[in-house]
This record gives sequence, structure tokens and C-alpha cells, in this order.
Amino acid sequence: MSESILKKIFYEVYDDEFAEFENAIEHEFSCTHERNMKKIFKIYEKNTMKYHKKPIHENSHKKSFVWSKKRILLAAVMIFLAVLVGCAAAIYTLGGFKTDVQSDNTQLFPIDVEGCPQTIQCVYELTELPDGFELLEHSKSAVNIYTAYKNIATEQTIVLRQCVKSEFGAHYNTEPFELEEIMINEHVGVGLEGKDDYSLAWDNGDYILEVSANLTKKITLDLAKSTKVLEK
Amino acid sequence: MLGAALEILEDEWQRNELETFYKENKKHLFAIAKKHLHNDNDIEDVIQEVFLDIANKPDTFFSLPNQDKIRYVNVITRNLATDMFKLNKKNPTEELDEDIPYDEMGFEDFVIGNAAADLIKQFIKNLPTTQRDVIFLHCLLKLTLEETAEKLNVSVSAVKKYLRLGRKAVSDFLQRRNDDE
Repeated sequence: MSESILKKIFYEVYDDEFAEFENAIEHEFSCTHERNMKKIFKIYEKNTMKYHKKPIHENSHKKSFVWSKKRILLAAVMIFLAVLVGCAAAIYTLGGFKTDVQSDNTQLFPIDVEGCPQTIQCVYELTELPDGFELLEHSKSAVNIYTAYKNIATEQTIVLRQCVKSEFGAHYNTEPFELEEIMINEHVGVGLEGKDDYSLAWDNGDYILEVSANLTKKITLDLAKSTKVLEK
Repeated sequence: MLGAALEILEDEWQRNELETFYKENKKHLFAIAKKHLHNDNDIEDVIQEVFLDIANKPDTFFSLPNQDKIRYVNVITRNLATDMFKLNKKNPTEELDEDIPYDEMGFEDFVIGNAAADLIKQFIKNLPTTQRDVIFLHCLLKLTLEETAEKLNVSVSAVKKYLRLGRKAVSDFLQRRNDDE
């Protein structure tokens, strides 16, 4: 018996062992699990960068060639559109978002929506609300949640929004102000300092979270860092 | 502007292959672990542990042909699930700590004469699972002794011992066949 036949038999033994699981019923994994898996994929992506940079795959040349054609085509389309609309808008990435800069505002879009929940499955809340703030309004739909708190004495408000990524496309007033990149725990996001308020938006892997408050940047950032999953 | 837009598209093109692999196989990996564990949280922990291990040391996974990737992950998942089951039952994994002299063994050491394929298949199936997994990971998938030991949560000397036991099982099998003939 040759080595290759024995190898084939060995593989068959393993394929037989696991064949019974091929038609397993669908399981709904927990939100926490899927979130942890995303972190794991990020680690993998980081650790395999060297593979992406080296042309080790058989079809890498082919992909590069196709990609070059795509680049040329995309460049041509973008130049044409820019000429057509007089360069009215600029697109770039900031704080984990694609940003569409208009003359008086900037619209944010998530970069990657694949595999993210299409409906709200976990609810986030602010766990370290400052003293004096009470719930003012709470509304929830299948794709977003809006929660507002108010301090009656000082008239200050705090707003937390949670939105599924595929539905997110908020406009920020950037005519007099400028968006900045900012870290909210381990997530990169954007911050916008207004006249007497501060707003933050970040992609936590599953949802887009936004916190805005007419409080200082530091307090608003601490509030954002305190968001935790309330319920599944 | 154009560069940034292209960068986004490039990111999409370099989609995380481990994520794709997970999505394609998570259902049946769950079922494999569920055969040994009945708590969904434990099963999810096992799956996370399997993928975290791959993420941290991607070289082994990356070097395997596609068909072997799933076999490899199946074996690791099953093994981790049984380990967790034993741990839950306070019945730790068998350890063979004695220092075994080891001469390099390849898959050719397990080539079994001219026995009929179905007999050999039965023989391989009947090998103790860890012994079979050691041969599979070390001799077929070419993991090092250390990697094999780590994936199966046994010591390196245990891996050596399982390889020796495997070879002995082969010679016993051949002996029995000769006696039968």
C-alpha cells in the first residue's frame, strides 16, 4: 500500500467522523460571542498583514492586474464626477468612518457593514451618568435607539443614540467646526466640538454609537467610555 | 481624496479570510463541540479559543491547503471540547510525562503493507483518538512535535509516546494479519 493511498484513507476517516455535523441545525450565537469573534478577526488581520504584503498567492498577479484596471476605471469616473459637480464634495476616511464633506456639513458612513446585526440585538446604556440627570425620552425601533437625559437644574442634556450600521448616515455640522479623530476605549471614532457642546460617534464593530451633550469634551468622552451592553 | 477612496476598496478586497472561514463553518463547529458540551456558553468559549489560537499563530493555519484547514479546525475544536468536558467533570487530560527517546517519524512509518483499504480504515478508526490525532497533525499536516502537543493539550513526551504507540499498533496489526493468513 502506497503512502498516498494511506493518506487518502486517513483523510476519509476524519471526513467520516465529522460528516454527521455537516447538516447541523443553525444556531444563533450570542451577541457577546460575535463581538469577541470580531476582535479575534482583527487580531488575525493584524498578524497576517505580512502575508497580504507578500505576493505569495498563486493568483496575486492576476488580482493586482484586475485591481489596476479597477483603479484606472475608478479614477476616471471620479475625475469625471468631480468635473461635473465642480468638486462640491470630498470623500475621505476619519475615525473609522467614510466622510462625505459638503459645503456646510459632513455626512458619516460606516466603512464595513458586512456581518453586522441588521436589527438591534443588544441595547447599550451609559453606566456612569452624572448626578442630577434623569431620563427625559427613550424611543426604540428595530434599527435604532434614542435616549435623552436632562438635568432640570442646569438645563443640560445628554443624548445617546445607537444605530445599526447599515442604516447609519448622520450629518454633522462642520461649517464652523472641524471633526477630530478620537479613541473611545479600544474603538476609534470622531469627535466634534460645538459652541457649547461636544458630540462623539464611533463604530464598536456591531453598531454605531453616538453621544452628545452640552458638557465638556472630557465629561462627554468619559460618558461615551462608560457605554455598556444593558440587555441582549 | 482618491487615495483614501481606493484604500477603502482595497480593505474590502483584502477581506479577512478567517472571518469567511468562520462564517462558512461555525454551524458545524458548534455541532462538533455540542456533542461533548451541553452549555452554549462553553461551546462558544471553545470556538473562540480555537479561532483566537489561529489568530495569534496564523502560520500553521495559513500554510495548510484549504481542505486541510477545515479538518485541522474540526480536530482542534473536538479536542478542546472534550478537554473542557473533562475539566468540567474534574477529570483532567491524561498526561504522559516520562521522557521518551524519539527518533524522527514520518508518515511512511505508518504505511501498512498491502492490507485491504477497508481493513486499514477500520484499523485507523479504532486507534485511540489522541493517538490518531497525533499521527494526523504531526505526520500528515506536518505540525512540529511542539505544535502538536500544544494543539492537543498534551506534553511533547506524550506526543512522542503516542507516535511510538501508533507505530507499535501498526506492527501488531501487520503481525495479526500475517498470523491470520
